[in-house]
Amino acid sequence: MPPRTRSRLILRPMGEEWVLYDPETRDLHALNVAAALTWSLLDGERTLEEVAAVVHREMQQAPDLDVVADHVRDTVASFVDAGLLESE
Amino acid sequence: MRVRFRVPEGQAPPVDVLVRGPDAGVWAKALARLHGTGEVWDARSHRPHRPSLDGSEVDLCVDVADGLMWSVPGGAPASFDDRASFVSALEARISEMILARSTGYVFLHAAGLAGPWGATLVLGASGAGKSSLALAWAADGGAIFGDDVVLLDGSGLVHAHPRPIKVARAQVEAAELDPTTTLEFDSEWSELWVEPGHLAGWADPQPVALVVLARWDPDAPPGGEMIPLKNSEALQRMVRSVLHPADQDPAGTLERCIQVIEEASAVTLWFNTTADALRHLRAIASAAQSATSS
Repeated sequence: MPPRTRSRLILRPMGEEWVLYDPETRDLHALNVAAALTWSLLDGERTLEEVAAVVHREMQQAPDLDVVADHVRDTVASFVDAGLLESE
Repeated sequence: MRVRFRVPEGQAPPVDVLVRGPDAGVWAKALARLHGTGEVWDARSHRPHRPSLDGSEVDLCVDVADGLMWSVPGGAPASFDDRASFVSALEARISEMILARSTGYVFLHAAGLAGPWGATLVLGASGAGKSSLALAWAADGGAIFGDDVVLLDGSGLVHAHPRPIKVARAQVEAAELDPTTTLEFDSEWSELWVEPGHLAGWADPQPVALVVLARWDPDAPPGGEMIPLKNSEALQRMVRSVLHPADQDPAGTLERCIQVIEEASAVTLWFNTTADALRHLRAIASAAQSATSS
C-alpha cells in the first residue's frame, strides 16, 4: 500500500527549513526542502516511484532520478520510524 | 474578604477568591500580592459601581478558620499542613484559572527579561535557572515579564504574567536584597517571593529579540558559555514550554512560536553563576544595540 501521512500533523516553513509538528505530542521534526516535499506527496495513492519522479522534477539541481529515489525511500523509512505515517 | 485577579483577556471574567476565617483580612492582602492584578475587596461592603462582584459566584473558596484549605464550587476541599505548600499550591491554582480564561494568549513556561533591544525569553525545565536569572536581572535594575510564566500575544509580543519571583532565601540574600521587602508569608520559609515592584517593576509588552535555553550546571566552564541554538531545536523547546493542555492551545500557537524564533536569535546559555549568565546577556545586548545604532 502506498504510504499516507498521518492526519493532524502540521507542516510549516521556518527560514530555509520546514518543521513538521504533532500538536498532540508537541513533537517537532525538522525537514529539509526535499523531505518536506516528499512528506506532502504521501497521499496514500502515489507510489514511492511516483513520489520520487515528482521530487526529481520539482527540485532545482536535483541529482539523477535513481539517487532521488534512494533518498525518497530513506526519507519515508525515517518517517515510518518516527511514526509520522498512517499504519495499515 | 474577597480577592479579585484580573485576566489579560479584556472580556473574560476575573478570578474571584473568597477568603474566610478569623485572619481572612490578613490572608486576603497576602494572597492579592501573589499576582500583580490582585485586589482585595470587602464582600460585606456595597460597591454599586462594581455590582458584578457582590453576589457573584466565587471561583475559589479559601478557608483559614481551622487549618488551611481551599475548595472550588462543587468540589472537595484540599487541605494543607504547612503555609508554604498552601500558598504555592494556591498561586498555581489561581494561575491555572487565569490561563484558562486567557484564550487569546499563549502561556509559556519561561522567564522573560526586558531590555532596550527587546525581550529575552528564558526557556528551561524547573531548576534550569530561570527564576535565578530573573531575580538577578531585576536586582540589576532590569524590568521583567515573569520568572516562570510569560504571555505571548497574537502579534508575537511578550506580556508580563506578574507573579512575584519565587526563589530560595539564600539567593535573595546573595542578591543583597532585604528579605523584609519580600512577601514574607512566613519568616522561616526557605523560599521567598520577591515583587519586582520593589525593583525595576514589570515590563511593558515587547517583541522577542533573544531566546535563551538556560542550562544551570555546577560543572559549566568557568565564566559560562553561550552556544548558538538551531532554530528547529529552539522551536521544539518553545512549543514544549506551552502551558496549555495540548488540545486547548490558542489558535496559531505554532505560528506564533515560529514567528518568534524567526525574528529572534537563539542560544543555549550554560552557566554556573548568575553573574556569568548576566555577563553573557549584557554582551548580547550590547552587540544588538551597536548593530541597531550603526
